[in-house]
Amino acid sequence: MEDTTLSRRGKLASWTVVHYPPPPPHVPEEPFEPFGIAEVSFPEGIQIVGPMTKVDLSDLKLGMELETVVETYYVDHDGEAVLGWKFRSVEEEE
Amino acid sequence: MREVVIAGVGLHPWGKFPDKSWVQMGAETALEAADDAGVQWTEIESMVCGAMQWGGSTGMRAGNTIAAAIGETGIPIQNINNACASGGSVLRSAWLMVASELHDVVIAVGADKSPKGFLPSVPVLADEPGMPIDMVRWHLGLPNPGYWALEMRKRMERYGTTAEQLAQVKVKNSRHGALNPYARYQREFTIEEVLASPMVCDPLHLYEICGTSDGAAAVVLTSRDFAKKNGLPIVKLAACSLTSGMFGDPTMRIPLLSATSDEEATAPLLSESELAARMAFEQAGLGPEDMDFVELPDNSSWHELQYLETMGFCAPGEAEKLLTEGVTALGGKLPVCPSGGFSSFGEATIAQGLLQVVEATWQLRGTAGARQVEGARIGITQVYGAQANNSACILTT
Repeated sequence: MEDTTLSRRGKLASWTVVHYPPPPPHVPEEPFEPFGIAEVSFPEGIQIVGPMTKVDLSDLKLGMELETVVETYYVDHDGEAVLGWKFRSVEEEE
Repeated sequence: MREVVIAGVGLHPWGKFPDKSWVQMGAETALEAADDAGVQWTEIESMVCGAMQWGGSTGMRAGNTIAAAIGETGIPIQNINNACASGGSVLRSAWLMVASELHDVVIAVGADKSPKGFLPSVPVLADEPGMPIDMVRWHLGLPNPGYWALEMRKRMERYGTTAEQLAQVKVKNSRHGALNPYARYQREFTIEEVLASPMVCDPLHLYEICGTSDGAAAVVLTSRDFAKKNGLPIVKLAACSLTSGMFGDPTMRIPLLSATSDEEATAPLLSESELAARMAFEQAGLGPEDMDFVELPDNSSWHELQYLETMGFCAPGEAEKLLTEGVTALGGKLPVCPSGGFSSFGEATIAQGLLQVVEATWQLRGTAGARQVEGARIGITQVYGAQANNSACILTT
């Protein structure tokens, strides 16, 4: 087995919006806000799923470039932030 | 390998049964199948049962639990969990036992009660080193319909499928389900109702995703000689395949979070399902053109469109046409999900593969009532499970 470091950027292959709060261990925000999920295709030949940092559906276009960032998925019942990868549009950063 | 025959079937109505245990549902249905086959419980030589994860430790040994409720007879009992494809996996093992001449009478049973809402993960050891991937996806918050929505979005982009075409899948299957006294939802839905139902995971609405139900189904397999004694019309289990996924498949699989990119894919989308259908056709010496009806896994409306292509019934991008032209409706050339499908039954993950086989058996016996496919002689069932589990069965008269 060999580790490979992926590019930070990939292309939007698909997306959805989760409109209902997911079950535990995820702790949804109160009140629950629907959140976006992106499927991003990386140049290394792999596609990966992750939440989007924000959902403005009018901005989404398949094939657009997204960048990987580390952000909070949710804050657990002890007040600890659970971190993970997320995707944001490159324009958002600039 | 000798010929295997479906000698008896049993089906519990599907829905929500808060006052009835899955053990009771499973036991009643198993006895119904034995009775249908004309055999005593004590004549059954082996039992294969779906291991029911929502039932905790006893659920994982569902076969033993159900057998104890009926009366233990000392026979071998296997408990199998292959996610939503468990029913097909259970039947495959039972089929092997009869085909190999190890046993003459084997019962396959699936009984399931589902949690409400999104199907959650089953708890894991707290001190397990390395987080199981199923937990990662739940930290992230991605439910099963989210996976199907991602594939549907691609389909819309690729083939221009409209929201109305997608909604038509539910409309069509609900017409079938309205004719089935065993279905949970026995009424027709309109396109307007489907499109007005709440969005769950864009572009999939609530009515485009199957519910989570309680249900049970059982099938008794025997040799042909044994079945002849029973006097029922002979239904042959001509093929029963079981497959897993292939490397290079671009499907984003529940509960994984990565896959080969579409551009680099070296295996087909839903490779396990394409393989299961192909193997079943080869085993039966038949092809898609020979089928009189199909019971496919319409876990969501995306599945129905995709599986018509995956199983070889049409070229990529042509499933919408079959739907809108009425080919896949009762009365059409290839009725799809004459039972009403999971869309009308809801998922009962352990039992749904057997539900399809029970329906196919009734269709081939000509006893499916108002939803009877006229002149049905050959049918195929296919069931899909998480982590690339798949099984397809071909039944013939």
